[in-house]
Amino acid sequence: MGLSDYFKPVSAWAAGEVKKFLRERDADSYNLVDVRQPGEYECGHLPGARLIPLAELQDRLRELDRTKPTITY
Amino acid sequence: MSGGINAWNGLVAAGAHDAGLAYYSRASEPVELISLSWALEEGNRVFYDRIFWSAPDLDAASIFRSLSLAEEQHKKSLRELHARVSGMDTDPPLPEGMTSGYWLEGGSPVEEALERVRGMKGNQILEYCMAMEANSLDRYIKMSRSVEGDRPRELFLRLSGEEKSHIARMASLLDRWRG
Repeated sequence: MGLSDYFKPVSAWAAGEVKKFLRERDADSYNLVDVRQPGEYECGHLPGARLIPLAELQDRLRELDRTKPTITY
Repeated sequence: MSGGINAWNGLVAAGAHDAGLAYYSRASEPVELISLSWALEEGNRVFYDRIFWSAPDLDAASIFRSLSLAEEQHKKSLRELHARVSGMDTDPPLPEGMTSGYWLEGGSPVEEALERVRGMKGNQILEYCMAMEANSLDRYIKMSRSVEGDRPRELFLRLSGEEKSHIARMASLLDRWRG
């Protein structure tokens, strides 16, 4: 096995694609997650984003609806 | 979202890096997973050793030093597990493609990562390291699910817990810096 057998690309959307997606979908049809720190979230965040700091993400996954697409930033 | 909040605001994050690659191997042979983990821990250790010298303050330097020591401890645990499952009291064999140089999560060379963080501000370096640790956490969780054998599973779970505590520690420093 080589290195490429261990890792695969993770899809990432550009900001423009995310804006288009959010504009065209109802707010309850996706999970929008801000994984930054609370202070950063308070300074500004995407409309409707739920704050789950990276260090807490694993323990709080149940708060997300697995049947819906999830966008993180 | 690529570029995070900066991209949303129309800004280009200085030194921003989207790792772009995540661990996905479906391999379940303990020796293979131990070898890959050992090689990546070694890469992390070298990375933290090197950025220790450019840490923006004593708190950051202290974290980088303790992370380097933690990676060394992880390597020791993986070596012991390797000896137990393979019967060979040696460092685990390096995976194909990783036999020269040092490597980080996603298979990127340490030298490239060091180049990337050069010129970054302290908070950007910490965020970069947190993303690295998050990839390690993700990998160990996946490995613990796929590996054969209780002992390897237990070790991978323990290591995932330690990666999580590293993220929390850096997040805490990030908060302190932001006041």
